[in-house]
Amino acid sequence: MIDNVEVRRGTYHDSVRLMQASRALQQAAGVEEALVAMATDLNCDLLAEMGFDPEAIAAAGPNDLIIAVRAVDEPAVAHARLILQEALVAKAVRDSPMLATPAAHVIGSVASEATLALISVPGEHAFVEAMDALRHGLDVMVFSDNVPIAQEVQLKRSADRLGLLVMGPDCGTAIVNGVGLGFANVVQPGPVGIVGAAGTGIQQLCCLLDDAGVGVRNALGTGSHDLSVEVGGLSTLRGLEALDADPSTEVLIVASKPPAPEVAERVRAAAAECVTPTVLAYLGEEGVTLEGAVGRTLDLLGKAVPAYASWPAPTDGHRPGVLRGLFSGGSLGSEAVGLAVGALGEVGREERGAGHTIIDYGEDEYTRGRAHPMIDQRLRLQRLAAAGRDSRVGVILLDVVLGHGAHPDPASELAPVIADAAAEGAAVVVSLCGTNGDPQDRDRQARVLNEAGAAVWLSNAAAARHAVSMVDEVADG
Amino acid sequence: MGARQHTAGTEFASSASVPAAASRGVRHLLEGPSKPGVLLGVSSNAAWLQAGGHVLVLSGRNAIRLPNGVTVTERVDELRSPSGQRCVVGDGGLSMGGVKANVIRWWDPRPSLEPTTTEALAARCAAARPLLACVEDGGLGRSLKRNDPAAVRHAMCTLLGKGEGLTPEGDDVLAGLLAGLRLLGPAVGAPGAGGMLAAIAPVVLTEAPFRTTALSAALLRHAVAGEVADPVAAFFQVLTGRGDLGAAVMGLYRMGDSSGIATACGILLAGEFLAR
Amino acid sequence: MGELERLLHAEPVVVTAGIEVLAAALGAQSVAVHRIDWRPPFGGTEVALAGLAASPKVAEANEIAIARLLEVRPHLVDVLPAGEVVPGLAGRTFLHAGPPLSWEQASGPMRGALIGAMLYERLAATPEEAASKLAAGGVELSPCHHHRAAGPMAGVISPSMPVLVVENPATGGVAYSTLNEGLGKVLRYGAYAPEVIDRLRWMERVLGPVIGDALRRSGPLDLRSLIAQALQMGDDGHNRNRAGTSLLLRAIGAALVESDVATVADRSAVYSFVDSNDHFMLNVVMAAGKLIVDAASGIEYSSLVTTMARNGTEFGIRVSGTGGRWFTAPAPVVDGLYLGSFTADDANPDIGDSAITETIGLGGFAMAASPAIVGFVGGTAAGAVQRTLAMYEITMAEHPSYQIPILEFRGTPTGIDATLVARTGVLPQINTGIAGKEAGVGMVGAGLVEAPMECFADAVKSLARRLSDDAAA
Repeated sequence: MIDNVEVRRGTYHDSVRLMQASRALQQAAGVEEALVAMATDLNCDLLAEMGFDPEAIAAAGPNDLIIAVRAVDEPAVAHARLILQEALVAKAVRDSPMLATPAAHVIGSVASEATLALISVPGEHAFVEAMDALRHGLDVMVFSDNVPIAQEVQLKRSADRLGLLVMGPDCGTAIVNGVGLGFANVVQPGPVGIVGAAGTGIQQLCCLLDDAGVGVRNALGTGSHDLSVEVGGLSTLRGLEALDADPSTEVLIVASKPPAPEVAERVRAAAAECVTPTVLAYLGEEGVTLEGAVGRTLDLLGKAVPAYASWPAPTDGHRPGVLRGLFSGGSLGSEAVGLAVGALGEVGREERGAGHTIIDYGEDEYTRGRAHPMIDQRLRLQRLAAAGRDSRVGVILLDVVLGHGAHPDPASELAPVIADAAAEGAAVVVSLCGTNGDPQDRDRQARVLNEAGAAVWLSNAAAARHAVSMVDEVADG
Repeated sequence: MGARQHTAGTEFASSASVPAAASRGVRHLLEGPSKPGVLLGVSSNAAWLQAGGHVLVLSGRNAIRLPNGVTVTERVDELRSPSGQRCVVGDGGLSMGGVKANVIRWWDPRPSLEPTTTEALAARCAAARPLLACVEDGGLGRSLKRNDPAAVRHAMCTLLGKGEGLTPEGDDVLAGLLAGLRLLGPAVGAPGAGGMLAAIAPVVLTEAPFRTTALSAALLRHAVAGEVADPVAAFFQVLTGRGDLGAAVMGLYRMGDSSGIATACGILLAGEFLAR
Repeated sequence: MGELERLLHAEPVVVTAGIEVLAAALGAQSVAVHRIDWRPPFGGTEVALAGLAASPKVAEANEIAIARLLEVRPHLVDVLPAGEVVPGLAGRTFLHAGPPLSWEQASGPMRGALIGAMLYERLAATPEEAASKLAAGGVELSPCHHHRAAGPMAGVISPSMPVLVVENPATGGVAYSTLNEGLGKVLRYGAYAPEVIDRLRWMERVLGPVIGDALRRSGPLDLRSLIAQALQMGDDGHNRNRAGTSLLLRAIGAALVESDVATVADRSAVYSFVDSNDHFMLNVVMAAGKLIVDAASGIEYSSLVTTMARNGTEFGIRVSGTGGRWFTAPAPVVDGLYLGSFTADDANPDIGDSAITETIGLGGFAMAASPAIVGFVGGTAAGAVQRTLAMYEITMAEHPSYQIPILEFRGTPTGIDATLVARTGVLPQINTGIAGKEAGVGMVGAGLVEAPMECFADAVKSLARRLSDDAAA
């Protein structure tokens, strides 16, 4: 039998709570006797009567807390300590309206109840909230854009020190433990882990894997500036390391728009160090596509690469003319440009161009004062209608991104405009980024777009190749 | 929040569907065709229902994820409408009293464990044991030490259904042992735990429906498949070298009653058997 | 935990700030979401807040400052003449509440109290003479806060007044406050009628020596413990001190009986005086508060608010990391209930050092513990709880000893962080009495007042400047 007496100076608890704590201890396994009480004369006498050594509390006064435990062995004492810790903690009450906590205004106020902060306040204010979240031990996703790069570096260095991860700023997509953050498609948890600086790139990877029956448990977004020279890939490297160490991740994909060369090298070196097989996809590098990255991933998992879902256009005749790409997803647009440049030569990135153009309507200049085109399609609808009426345009290529956060039913708005464009003689090709688990229902969206006259492809690269090939046909014929 | 509670009934009656997350361990039941269920019990924040020969637990805000669990972010008593008892499982979710919990997210109740050595496993078990205050195991530990499957089976049958409540403590120990053999075996390069798992699991699965509560029998089935509650999964991670022991043990205490601790005691028996 | 173990494996609980669509998308996935009602920080503080958030020094300094604030264990040890113990009170110096002040700027009650002190100290024979001497600069005015002291309402301390002596046995630190005069016509509300002066003389001659003797006999009184118990008996430590006063009297009762420094009649009068003044404990709490905030002052870069005080003209705060500098704004008018036929027109702007109680996690911050005062300050019990709950958002800690029964013994919100005030727009809530604006009228009501935002915004900007200047240097 072991007697253990502890005095906590100047710790006050009311007698009822102390009685409850004493009772909890007395009932603990291996505990013979226990007293938790303020060291009043009465309680000191009581303790002596119970046979505890009065010397142990000689210096204690009525404002000190005594914790006395008699137990069979040391482990039982340790066990009793854990129980006491629980018993003395105030339990939060929220079920009465009078006691309901008022709305919080800063992240720190509710941080103790959370594991992750998702910040989408205006960019100039994001840093303060994100630092607050980190200091309270939360991982952070910063959806906000326009955060100064120096603040981004500081956030990510702080996260590194604290053993946390900052995704973003300008991080549109992430999946953590099966939960989509920002714009994300509904996928099953599975063996693939993704680290990416490319929002819709991550979405495309998830959708293609889903179509192949492979799930993704974690897709860590890093933000579009992570692989810049200034940031140096801090979040990418950290995410890579964590997923590599995670036993449930069997294959890793790192996807990004073209990084700064020295950062690209650093990431390449880190990927080579990984125990987990790692597929590196720098979009924009010669021959690199998201579809290709998924193909290599499936190879590594020993799975066959499927024919990804597609819905061919009901008719194939169309007028000759240039390619118009109208994108909402930056990575999808970049991938399309990469493929188009190879086949068509020059492809303009600005609206004014008379030749082939591929525009990313998610860029800042098109989103000022309105929501992202994945949520608000009006600008793109207008440009789509204009392209349909423009007799110089032969092929229109656009992406439609589904999933959480995106427009609830994009096809319903696009279909009539696509039908008009098709009626004018333009070919319309849609890259449809979605899964059947998505709230919008991918197959239904595809059907509606297809019936309006569009050729629909799940693979963005396939959609782009198809669109380009139709331009080729015209040029050749 | 008070206002919310007052209007909850009508709110849900009109929308009639709430998003839910669920364990992959019960995906076959939830995604299969609709089948009638029986409500076994309810508390303010959980409901137990039987369907398709299994028991599922619907739990609400701040609940611990169970291997047979479906979770919603509301409290369960906010969900239930007065019309009460009828429930249906399948077709993508489960319905109770006119409200459907629609599963749109799945979690994996089976932890992936890092390979480890028997020496390291033995050391971590030894570190954990003092914090758990394990109770009498009906000779289970002794029989395992002797590697005597018949004696283990006998000890298991005495523990099965022993204790009070929805998940009797004896069953928790057994669930811990079975999940422990299933998950820690491969981690130390002994899948099937040298035949022990195959020798003892069938008797538990056969006997459980007759000797213990339906919920407990269901949890034992999950344990044999290596599917466990979140705090138990965290304890497994600690035994294979990831995470903090103290935090994991606190998590077990927070599971309520003695369930988490008893399960961990069973896991230690498995760990010590594999490391012997 | 392993690398990002929680992020990769635990069920996430997400706190969101910003776009509602993103929070709703989480809800649709059955993820627990805490939505922040985010609002931009107070205009002009954005850059300063970012600078302070960037530096780990601020967080480190705040940890030190709040730890110092929480660890002080004040003990009431004695009552002695102010002139003998309060530093810098020698010669013709009077102390007053709030930030620095001149006679010209002084409000009605402040002028009244200063005139009263002149008469009490026999520096003038008539109120007119006192006023003209004060106007001529015949007496130096200095804030109590510069002299380890704090005084309620006008807070005037002159050398002959007896003061409570509160010590920190761990450090030897010491702080002072006057003895509370009771309600009605009293000096602290600016009254200077003969009865007021007579009472002050009685306090000097009888009350001070008797209480001092009793304290020396009973031994140091642990105020932290006494205040903690008083909160559980319904006090807030600012506007309600009935329980604390009773506990104090109980603690020194035997010594009061034994005391031989005065006649039985005098000692009985002392007992009755304290017993009939529910606010007697207020000044004791304030002296304890002064000891506590002084211990937390001067921690470089800390944004902990160490002073909130009003002189009837201006509201001023001081912050641990900006030295002795005051950040002031015009004192607001208290929103509350008025006694008798008084109205808001009769009210003086906010006055007194008693907001020191809020600075240490009492008063408005502990209002949930004190449903009994809500009628007095014009509120509801539910509102009192809500006010305390709102204060958790702008404070650094929950007090380990001051606990609130109705909140399941959660500690009171303690240690105001000026940056949190600027970020949230939530202002410190102060429970207070209302002085009449004419000298000599006394108390006209009681109510609630919010500290002005400008003080906190200026403090935040000043702190950020210090930080960036030091970084550049």
